[in-house]
Amino acid sequence: MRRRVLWHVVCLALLAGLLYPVGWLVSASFKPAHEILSSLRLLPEQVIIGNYAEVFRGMAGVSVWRFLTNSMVVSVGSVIGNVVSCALAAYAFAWLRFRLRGLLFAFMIATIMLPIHVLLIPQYTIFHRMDMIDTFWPLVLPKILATDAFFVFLIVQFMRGLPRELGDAARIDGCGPVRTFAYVVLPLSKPALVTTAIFTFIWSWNDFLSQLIYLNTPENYTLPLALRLFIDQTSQTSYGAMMAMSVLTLVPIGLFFFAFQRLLVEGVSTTGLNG
Amino acid sequence: MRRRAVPRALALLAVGALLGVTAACGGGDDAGSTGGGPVTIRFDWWGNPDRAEVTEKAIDLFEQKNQNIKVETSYAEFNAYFQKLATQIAGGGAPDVLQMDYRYVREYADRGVLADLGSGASKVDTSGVTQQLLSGGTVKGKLYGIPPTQNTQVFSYDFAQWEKSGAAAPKDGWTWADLKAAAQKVSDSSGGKVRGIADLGGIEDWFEVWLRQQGKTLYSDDGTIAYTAADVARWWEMTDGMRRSGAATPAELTAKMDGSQANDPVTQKLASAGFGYDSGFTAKSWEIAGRELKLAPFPSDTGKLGQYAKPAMMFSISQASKQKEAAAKLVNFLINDLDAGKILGMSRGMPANAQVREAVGGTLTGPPQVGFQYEQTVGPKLEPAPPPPPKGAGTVKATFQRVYDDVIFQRTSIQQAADKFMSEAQKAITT
Amino acid sequence: MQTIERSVAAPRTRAPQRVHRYGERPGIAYLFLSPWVVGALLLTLGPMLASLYLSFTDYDLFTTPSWVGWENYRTLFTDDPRFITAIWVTLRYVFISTPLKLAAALAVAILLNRASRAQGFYRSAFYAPSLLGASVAVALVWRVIFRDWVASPDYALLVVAALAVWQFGAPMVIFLAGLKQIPQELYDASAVDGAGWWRTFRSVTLPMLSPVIFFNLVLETIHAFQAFTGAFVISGGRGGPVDSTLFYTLYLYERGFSQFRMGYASAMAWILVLAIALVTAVLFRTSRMWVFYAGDEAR
Repeated sequence: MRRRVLWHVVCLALLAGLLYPVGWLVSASFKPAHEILSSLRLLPEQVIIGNYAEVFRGMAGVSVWRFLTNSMVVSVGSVIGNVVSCALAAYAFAWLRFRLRGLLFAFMIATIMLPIHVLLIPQYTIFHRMDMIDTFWPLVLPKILATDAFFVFLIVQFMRGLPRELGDAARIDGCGPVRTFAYVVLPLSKPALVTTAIFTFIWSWNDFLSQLIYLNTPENYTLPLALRLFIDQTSQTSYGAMMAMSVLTLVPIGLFFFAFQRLLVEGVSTTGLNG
Repeated sequence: MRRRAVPRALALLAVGALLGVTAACGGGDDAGSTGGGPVTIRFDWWGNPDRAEVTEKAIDLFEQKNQNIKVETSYAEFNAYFQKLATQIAGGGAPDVLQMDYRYVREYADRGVLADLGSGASKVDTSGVTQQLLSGGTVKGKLYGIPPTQNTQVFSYDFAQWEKSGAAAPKDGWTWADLKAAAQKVSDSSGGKVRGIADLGGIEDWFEVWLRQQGKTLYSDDGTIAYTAADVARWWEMTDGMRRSGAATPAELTAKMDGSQANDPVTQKLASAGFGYDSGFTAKSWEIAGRELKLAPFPSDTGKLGQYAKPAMMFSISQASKQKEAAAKLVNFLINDLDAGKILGMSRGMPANAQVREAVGGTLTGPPQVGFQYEQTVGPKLEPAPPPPPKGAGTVKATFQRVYDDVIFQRTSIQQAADKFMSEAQKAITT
Repeated sequence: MQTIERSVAAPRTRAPQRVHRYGERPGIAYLFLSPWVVGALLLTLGPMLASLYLSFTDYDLFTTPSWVGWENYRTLFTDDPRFITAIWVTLRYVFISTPLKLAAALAVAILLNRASRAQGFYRSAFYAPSLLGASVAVALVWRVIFRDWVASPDYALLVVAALAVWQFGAPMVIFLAGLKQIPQELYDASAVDGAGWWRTFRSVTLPMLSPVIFFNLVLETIHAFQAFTGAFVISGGRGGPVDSTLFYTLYLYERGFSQFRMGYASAMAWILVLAIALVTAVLFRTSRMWVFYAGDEAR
């Protein structure tokens, strides 16, 4: 019993230190602008909710809900695309043998190494030629085509950790590679897939650069993009509203993470090994 | 045999698909149809939500008055805007009308990206605009950007604090020594916690005003640097002297200044005065600073003010635009139309068109009104804008600030720093 | 009789001669890979080759690139002191932030890997900083909280590193998933053998977790080399003060977009690729000594 209490105490103490900046952010969203920039105090001297009111008034005639919806569409599309395509590719790299495997795997890892800024213009040109600018396609299509080598690699590592006996058992039962994938490997890779889903959602949500470059009309803007519009340095900056909007941006992805991370709890079912 | 055929076939298929996609879809038109029918143009600008709101209203009015033109708009904050603009232009997706910055107009014009606004389909009526401003958008005799607004340099200070500490308020004809003395008083009376002035040594813009007071300029007409290391050294001696005596902000604070309000020592209440542009005084200025500020012109030792009418920004039309006439109509509207001017107000600064200026001036209150009054008083003393700076000017400005950081952190002597800066600046302009 | 038997036996012995157990039909592998292949060719390979080509040109973004051969590379190594600074800054950053981040992630993952109803809450709470990610608001908060350190050339880099380490939630979640995948029987067996916590950790947890540790190590290292947004926002885009936070990618961005020298920036990008590839190759090579794949055991 005491160990448990101690454990909780340690966790909470660590959290307190770690989340101090987050706490500061939330409290700043209730502060007036000049106080945000000049005072280091955690709690507001005057609590105002005007910042949130300003956010909900929307910008240039577009409501916050529209931005939220846009972000949802992009992120959910990305999750589905990524989980499916990366799982397929990872299975091939991890469990199947084919002649170009080593080379393609190395190439895949290499694709992570180039900084995005130099790929930006050629990729923009390609999407421009395909008439996809100002749509969500440039944001979702790469996910459908498994260009996120990070996740392919992640799932590969998980799949390689699964015992081969399972595959042998499946083969003896008459399963070919496809059915082995569907009935054996895929279910056992759930932690990896859930991780992929969670991270894809969050990273596509926060992917400022792609959203900036490919989305033009404010009606198509995503939430993080709209958020950055608050902080123009050459004209007036609504710091208070920016803090409020940051907090608001956190809420959907925070909820999403909290809801789905429970799926990570179900690990490898040990019955699979004996069955 | 089958094993080799599959990867090869797949590769061929993929390459074929790639070529097919890029070939078939290329060459499609981007902006609307040609001839007859409604026309669609794109208008991009930088700014914040307040500016966006009034701009959208003005655009609605434009669409009412021009039933066959539709305008698609997009905006971002300053840095993101230019990154996006560069990417779009390089990738073939440039907007028709774009907001352009004085600093970059030459870079873009020299590379053939902007259309000539003085002739042809993209001609815009500039007769009502303050003529001194137009030189700011003219490169090699052609007009590439028209400023919708003008602004000029300004000195702003917390007069309540100055009064309290016995510092002499700025007045007509005050000198740099006056400034130093006043700032010193403020610093001393607060025990150094609030400095008299935010260190101005690293900002090329103020160096330029000081140069012009002596009859010199930053760049000569052919685009070369028109000052010497000795000038730089003298300037830095003066400003660094203020830092050493405590009148100006310490190095740690100065190094953080990046033009944003978040890092401005005056906003943070760590300094009581600073230099800036009067277009920066928008409705929320006093609220963000937490107090009221007063405006004054630059101090000068030579009797010459050195300030000029600076284009805060410009509207340009992209050379690649397929709807130049429609684009020109929009620019015309934004700059010259009285109703548009009333809607846009001071969101981009003080209007450059005289008639619009009259109409707007009467409706202002608060910080923008103070800015407007300042413009009125200092306006007659302003010189015409110098021509747009040459390619690499942005780098020179960044280098100026970076090398000054070395000075205030005492990593180098002033003379050495000045020499180092000059050589780097020369390289930036010529490569 | 015997000849018949032998001729009948022959076809059956063909099967063991095949080396592969899976992928008897390699076409299947390519079927699984087809989305990835299309994506790679269409969206990745093309731009990669384009940027390689650009690195040998002088390209100012708006006019057609002009060929300059090795000029960009030559200038980088012989005539650009800020380039060297950028390399040093980035290396320091990688060596400071990556080990710390991974250590924190692993430690907290192990701490949290305990059956408890509060686990979901803790997991989300520790991950919250990563959710904020590279947002401008959090960087502003960081700048205000660390205002004294951010302005000092000696500590500014540490502030950016701290921001990175603070976001250890992402690798932590991956570690947690990996910990979940360790079969309980191994722990049971270890307990039956009378092994204490540390012993179990060394002989069960660490080896079984090694593929995931390896993954996190490689990817966090690569990400650290490419760090951009944190430094960009905290230093105000300039890499200051006095270039102490001039990250490699920050300098690349400045050269490419602010100074309109995309050819030069592309050369920088490819040098970075080579450096990262080298480091990654070393990591992969040395991984054979310490990474253990349970699935490979049967071979």
